[in-house]
Amino acid sequence: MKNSISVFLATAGFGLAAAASAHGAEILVTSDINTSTTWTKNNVYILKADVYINPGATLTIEEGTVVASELAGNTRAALIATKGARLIAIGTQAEPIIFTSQADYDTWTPTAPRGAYRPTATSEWGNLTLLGAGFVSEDAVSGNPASPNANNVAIMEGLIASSPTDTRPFYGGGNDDDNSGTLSYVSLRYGGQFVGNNVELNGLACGGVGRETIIDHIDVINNLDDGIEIWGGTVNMQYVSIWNIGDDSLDLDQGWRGKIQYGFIVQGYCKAGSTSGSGFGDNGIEMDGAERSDYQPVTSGVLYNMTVVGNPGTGTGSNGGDLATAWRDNVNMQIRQSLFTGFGEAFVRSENPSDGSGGFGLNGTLNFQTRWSTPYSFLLASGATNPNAPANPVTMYRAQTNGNLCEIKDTVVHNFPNTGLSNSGSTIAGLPTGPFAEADFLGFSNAANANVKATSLPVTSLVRGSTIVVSPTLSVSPVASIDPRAANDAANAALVAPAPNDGFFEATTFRGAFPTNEVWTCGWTAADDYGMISTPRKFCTVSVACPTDLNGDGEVSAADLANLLASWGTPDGDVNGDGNTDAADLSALLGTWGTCG
Amino acid sequence: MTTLIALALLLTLAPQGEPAATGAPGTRAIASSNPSLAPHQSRLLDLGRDAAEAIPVDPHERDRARVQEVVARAAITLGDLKRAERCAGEITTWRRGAVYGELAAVYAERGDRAEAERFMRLAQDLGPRVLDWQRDRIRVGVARAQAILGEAERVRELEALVSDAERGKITAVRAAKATPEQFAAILEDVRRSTASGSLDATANALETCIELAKALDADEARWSEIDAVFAAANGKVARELYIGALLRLADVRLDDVAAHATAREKAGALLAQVKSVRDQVRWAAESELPITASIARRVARADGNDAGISELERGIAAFKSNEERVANVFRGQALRPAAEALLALGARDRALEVYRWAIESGALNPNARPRAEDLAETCASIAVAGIDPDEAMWGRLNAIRAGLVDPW
Repeated sequence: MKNSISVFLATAGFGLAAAASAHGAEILVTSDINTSTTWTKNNVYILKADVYINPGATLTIEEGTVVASELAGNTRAALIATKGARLIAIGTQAEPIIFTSQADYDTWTPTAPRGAYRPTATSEWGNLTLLGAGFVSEDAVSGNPASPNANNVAIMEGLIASSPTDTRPFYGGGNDDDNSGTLSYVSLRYGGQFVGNNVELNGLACGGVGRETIIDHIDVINNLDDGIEIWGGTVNMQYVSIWNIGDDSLDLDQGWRGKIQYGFIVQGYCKAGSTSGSGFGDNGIEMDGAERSDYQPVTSGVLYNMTVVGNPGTGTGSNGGDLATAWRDNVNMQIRQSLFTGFGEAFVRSENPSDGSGGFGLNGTLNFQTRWSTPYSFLLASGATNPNAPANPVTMYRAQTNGNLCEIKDTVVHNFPNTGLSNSGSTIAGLPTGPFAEADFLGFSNAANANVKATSLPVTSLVRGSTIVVSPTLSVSPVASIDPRAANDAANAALVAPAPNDGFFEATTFRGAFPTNEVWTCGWTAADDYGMISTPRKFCTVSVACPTDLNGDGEVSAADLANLLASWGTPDGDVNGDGNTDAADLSALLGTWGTCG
Repeated sequence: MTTLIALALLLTLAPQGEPAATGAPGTRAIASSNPSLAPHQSRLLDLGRDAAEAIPVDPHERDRARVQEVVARAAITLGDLKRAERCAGEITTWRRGAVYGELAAVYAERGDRAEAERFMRLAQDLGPRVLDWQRDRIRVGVARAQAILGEAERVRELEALVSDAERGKITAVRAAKATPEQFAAILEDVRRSTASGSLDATANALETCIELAKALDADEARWSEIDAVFAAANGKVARELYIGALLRLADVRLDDVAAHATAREKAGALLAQVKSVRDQVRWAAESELPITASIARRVARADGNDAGISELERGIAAFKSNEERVANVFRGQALRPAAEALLALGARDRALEVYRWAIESGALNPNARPRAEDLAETCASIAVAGIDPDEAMWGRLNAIRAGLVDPW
């Protein structure tokens, strides 16, 4: 921490202390927020404890604000919006709101205004959590009935109630329309505080968050546990970037019933000497329900335009690295117009607990494979194969509006090298070896699904870095840089399942999160700050980006000039789109010197 | 449109009549379009509207709109449709369309086709980015208006075309107009719907049965067929919905008490069944009290107001014992239905006491946004309940309104 001067600012709502800083006054946040307040960009806010925004209070975070938290001793440092609270964190492309650690913040300099990438930094603070009153399915809480019920609640993973009457960490209820606030252009870096063995905090955790909540442009990098996990509720998301996560990149759980479009996942690792799930990326997308899987609501969602880049290892058999998609606990998910490349294990893997306590088929529920030929409308009916169904299913299950309960369509897969992969862990018996065996059994390669097993890279470029030894039998080469724009089979798709006109999804004709001519990660994501997005700047989202603002700080300055000169002769500093950094780019940069745009 | 019947049922079950406002100093008064509306009801609706509109659009537009809708719907409940239209006009989100849709339905019920059609058009002028669930919420009212305006032949044509969910709604409309000779045919439709396994169809079947039951008098043979449909639905629909349907069926029995000696006993059996369903699960305190309030109203009809009040007081006591576990922003939503029920049961003073409790609970939060929401909803509730607040309560309501300042 820089220049710490402990000057207490007494406030009615929460404990604060301010200290001068090279970047602005440092405000120590040490207790809950009971009174609505605004955090402004002229300060840096340092979480020194788990900070709850209590019911009724609104925390507004101004664009460009940095929250740089610090763990010391046994302290915790997460920001949690409780049921009934509101978090309004609306950044911009040029001025995102960044949650990070003090250790990271200390590396920020004028020439590297958001620091440099620290590959094995993680768990340096807590996380961001939203708790809402949407329906959840949770069997672990005594008294929760199996059918959807407004009284069903759960306590958020990693949070601790301070007393028997402390309801702050609880989520779930009977209001799927609940509003927890707005998150937009928010970047979460180096979090995921370790709480206990196998208990870490997810980068962005959403418990029972309702559909009046707005979440778009969310970035998570180097989080020890999952990147984003959603438990129940109905919240939707757009423009999600998740990099180098220590467990699952995206985890959908406990009866989430929502939609996501434009998801960009790059699997990797964030902790040296780690194991899968605790520092080394596990599943690209994990999808679950209640542990006792006949509880409802079941997870039922739709994912469009996901670009998911794996981290294939040198291992073979069942030790190849990461799964692309893991399916559990009666989940129903439609994945469309997406792109998966470079995974060390299976593309699709269904899993049931070995003790029979849950999983597909429990209590007469549909088995996994049947879901791939059962219309989505199945959830609207009661019956022996749909126990514990809700009263108003068309209200409860709104995300899927056509197709089958589970499906993958209009999707391209590429580079799943583990041809000897055993599928003995699948819920489907007798599968042959290979990464696509289960997917193909479920019809992935049927022409009607318009999926492609590509031989050409479906993104514009992808460069992997040095080899990391994960275990004696597994080494990986995480992504060093990527131009994620659609290429080859991803560039144009003759679609069989185009996005519905539902006011949320946008109709596109490409597979994956990016078209051929635009990226939405410029200027606000960690990967872009760290130079891991190699897309020429001219392809940055035009409406708000300035191509010559190479570091995305909203200004064309000496730092950008330095970046350009360092990239001379390579594509990295290319601003005019000719694929090379040269005099023309230099001229363009100098011609736009000053305030960008 | 497949969600419409479920949404309509939800709205039917939702606590009726929340908001309204008073004439705090500086509150803009709206002239009532319902001559029978009492001045205090107008003042309450004005105060509720004013409290809702005091919430800053930035960053609370969605919360503001939600309580504006509550106030507008209260005005509709009180027959003050012009006021509702004015309130709706101030809403800046999709909820404006939801109020317009409801207005369309009410005008259709009144036989005012021109106004119904005007509001149907307004409701569907949604803007560029309305999500599907919001669009359907708007269409609930529009669909109801269309059904009401439709000719019998048109209804039959629709019935042949639409999905299970919507067919059930139309069947319920038919049931409401059924002659005794049509009972068997309609009930057969109900049985088919239930057997289809569609939960919406099952829920609609219960509504259809309630409509059929209204024409049964003491025809116990047919009542037993209705009871059988209900029994078959137990466990197929959520407890809240099932409880609501059972209570409305009990209402039908209770309507017959004067004419048929056994009706009270039969209603009592239904109420015992309701309590049994309620008691099968653990409820959050803020969820259980509104249900108990609904039950208490029927207990009062069956066994007298004292019995109903006793039932409700047990629920209130249970809530009080758990009050500290309920965040102050959620207490009002539990207490208002209890106050409304107490007033309906003749316990005016106690109702005022519970309203005061709700008012003070809603004023506890240090932030104006939840206080404004609570004030708006409480004003609406008092207006719909018909209570003329005493001077002290007016003073308190106005003081809370005056205190709606930063921080929000």
